[in-house]
Amino acid sequence: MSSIAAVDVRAWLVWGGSAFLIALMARNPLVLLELGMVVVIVRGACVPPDRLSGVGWLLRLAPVMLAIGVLFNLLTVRAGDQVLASLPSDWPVLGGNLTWNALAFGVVSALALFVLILIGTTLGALIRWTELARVLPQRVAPLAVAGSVAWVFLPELTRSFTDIRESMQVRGVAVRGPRTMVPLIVPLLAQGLERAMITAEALEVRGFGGAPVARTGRRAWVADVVLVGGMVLLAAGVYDLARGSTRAWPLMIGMGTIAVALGALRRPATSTPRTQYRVAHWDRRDTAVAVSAAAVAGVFVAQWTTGRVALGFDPYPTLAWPTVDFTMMLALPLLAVPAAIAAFASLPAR
Amino acid sequence: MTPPPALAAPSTPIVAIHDVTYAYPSADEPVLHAISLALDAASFTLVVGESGAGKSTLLRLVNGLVPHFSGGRFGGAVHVEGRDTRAYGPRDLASTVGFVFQDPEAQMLTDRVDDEIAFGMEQVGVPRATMRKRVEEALDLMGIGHLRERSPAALSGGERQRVAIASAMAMHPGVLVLDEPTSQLDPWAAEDVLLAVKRLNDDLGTTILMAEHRLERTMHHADRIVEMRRGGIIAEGTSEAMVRMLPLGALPPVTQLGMRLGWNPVPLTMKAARRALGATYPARIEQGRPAFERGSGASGIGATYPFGSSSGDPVIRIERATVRRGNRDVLREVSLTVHAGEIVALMGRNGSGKTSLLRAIAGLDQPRTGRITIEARGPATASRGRAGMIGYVPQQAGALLWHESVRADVAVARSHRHDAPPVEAVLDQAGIAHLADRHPRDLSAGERMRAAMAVVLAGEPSVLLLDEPTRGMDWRAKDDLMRAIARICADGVPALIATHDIELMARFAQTVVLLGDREVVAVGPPRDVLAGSLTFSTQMNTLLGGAVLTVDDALEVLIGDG
Repeated sequence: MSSIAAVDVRAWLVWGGSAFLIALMARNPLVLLELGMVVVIVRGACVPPDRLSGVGWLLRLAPVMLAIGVLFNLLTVRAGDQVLASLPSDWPVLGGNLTWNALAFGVVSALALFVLILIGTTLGALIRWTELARVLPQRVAPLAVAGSVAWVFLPELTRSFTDIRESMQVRGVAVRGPRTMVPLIVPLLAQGLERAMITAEALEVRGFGGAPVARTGRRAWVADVVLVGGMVLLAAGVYDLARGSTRAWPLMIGMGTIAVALGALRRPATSTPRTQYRVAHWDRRDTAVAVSAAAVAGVFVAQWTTGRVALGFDPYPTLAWPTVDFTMMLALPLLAVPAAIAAFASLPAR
Repeated sequence: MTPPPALAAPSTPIVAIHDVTYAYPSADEPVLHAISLALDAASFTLVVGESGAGKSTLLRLVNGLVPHFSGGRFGGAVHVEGRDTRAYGPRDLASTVGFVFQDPEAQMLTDRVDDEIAFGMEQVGVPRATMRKRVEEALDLMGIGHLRERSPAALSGGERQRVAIASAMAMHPGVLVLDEPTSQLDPWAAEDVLLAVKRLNDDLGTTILMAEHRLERTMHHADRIVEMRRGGIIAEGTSEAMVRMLPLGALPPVTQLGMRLGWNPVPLTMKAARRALGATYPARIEQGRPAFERGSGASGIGATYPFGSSSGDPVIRIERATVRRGNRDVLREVSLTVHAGEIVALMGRNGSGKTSLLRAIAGLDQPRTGRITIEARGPATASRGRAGMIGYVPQQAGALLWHESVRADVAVARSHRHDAPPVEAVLDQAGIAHLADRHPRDLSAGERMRAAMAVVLAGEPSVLLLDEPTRGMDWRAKDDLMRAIARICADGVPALIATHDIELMARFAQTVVLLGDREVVAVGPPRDVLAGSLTFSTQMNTLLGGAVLTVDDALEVLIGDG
């Protein structure tokens, strides 16, 4: 798998969904560490070199996130049995005991955030936006196209930033610290806006959004009725929930949401339907990646519903070592299946 | 590629602009005044005129970007294949009018060349089988089949511009509109793009409407030239007729020569000029090649250069400098000495190392081996260090302009030095006192470049470094800029200019440094380096040989010899 195109974008979405689910829900540091390592392995094995931005900035970001997470938790949470130090109690907000428990939870929160960013950047490098636009329903495809344009825009913005910074440097204006960066913001925004206008023009002249077409026929009428009915149900459910008078609100909100989604998706397009230049083909590699990732998510959900203590980490009120969840620890390496395919299968890119 | 659909009959204009007056939303005055123009199917129309004349706005009328995208006050009507653009916007006309912008970087929307070409077709619902066929045709037509899997971001400017044209052509438009498509390209890339456009016009009958400053490359391709000034069309006609109406400085050198010698017909191409030369001076053509060698050298033309001076003290010394960026050498073993007051042209293909050399002199990249030293002009200068001595204007001159007016930008730049000259003096020196209160974003390319120069001049630099300063400028703006640079150099400041503009440098530079594959290939006076070269030479030198570089040189030789 020398190329990201070797695995279908939908399989990557399942992989990313599974990884995100675990990083969002789990607070067990052992699980988070293992997940982070698996993502690093996949990143190294599957992201093509031209899209593999260095991990240097991530490593620089880690101590900053750690410091923020730890400091915030340490200074705002007073609970815990292991006292590290005490601040005078008459200090507003900050006064009181600083505990090892708060520090430990701060470290775990920072770790979770770091793993989330790692997954996000890896998925961003693995997925081609144009591929994503092709597999999404017509109605949400413009969002993916917007993402694609933003992705193409990023290197330009970086170049503008470098140009401005260097022009300051050459003129002997020291570029150190956030204060000297402030003057860069306005020109950078102005250049970004100029570029955004040209991009918007380029999209327009190439027919982005399609020419408008009239919506007629029974399908349009039925879809509109379903959409409006769903909205009424949703509003009624929210009203019921707010008043707390009956127990019908979960049903109304659930049915209303389904009706709105169905109505919106079945509504005939208001513009010329898009066509697709490249059609994605699903094969065994994609099945392997998707099934293994779904299996990990399945194990996680099962563990969560039956024994959540092993996946969580609660240092309050008593600080203790995290529990080792062997089932989850054994399941997580399945997320590295794409890396295994890349390493052993040497499958050609599509 | 199959012919574009629904071509109008030759007698019916495919584009008809009727009495259009247009003003941008925040403008008091219209940018276009009572414009009327009709384009016949399969014609090639060139729109010329100074920066700010309204060329881009005129082009944007054709696909409805004006007024649908830009807003503003619009009067009159534009019909494209019979459709009124007041009722049909750019999206509706996407299949009818292809549009190529000036900046090839800004119009790429995807991360793969074939996806980029298919993008527009996907939006308008072209069936997949047709799309695949058209993508292949467009790749072949533009000669970019080998780039199909590449990312547009990794391509050169010329390649990117050809991808942009391929993307427009894949929609099979009847009309292709190009807004200065070669202004960002080197001469070779520009030639590739123009030949591709000409092929579309000749072979497929695509109607071409193009705005362009480089008349020496485009004039002979066009069936008709439209000249604009201050929002109006002041003249239009065939290329042959228009040469007598356009300013002499705007014309290609061979045409200028023909005009000044009274040749009839006036030549538009090298071939025509050679024929006229043979008819006028038959005795001077030996075996079909010109022989004007006697006029060169110290005893003949070109013994002196009118601008700058190369006899001052050395200011920049580069000794066997090798510069590495990432894991690649961007300069190899470069040695060069630049003197006070010298105007030095750095020339060479894209990627040859011109920008890298300027960056190394500016101190942005450090040599891995070798040495670069800047000699200070006095104790005050020496105390400033390298950064304060260098005035560096990068390709994106806007990077130096951050404030709400040119005056504010110069004032802030001046505030970094306690002994800086007054703002007004700096503005005068750069020749932009009249632009002092304008917002930098509202300036034309030429004005913006001179504003950026004023910003660096406020620091009283000992060295001026300019990276492609004449990109996108009309002939008059280029001339004004070079004269402003020459005035600065007259005070002993050397200027190094990375450029592709051979004709301009032949007139203004004292020294040409030719770079090839990151090494210095040749250094010397323009008559030594540019004369006799197959690619890095002027039209006059190609025509007459010897040391003849400019039209004035040619006249001196031809008239002087009778």
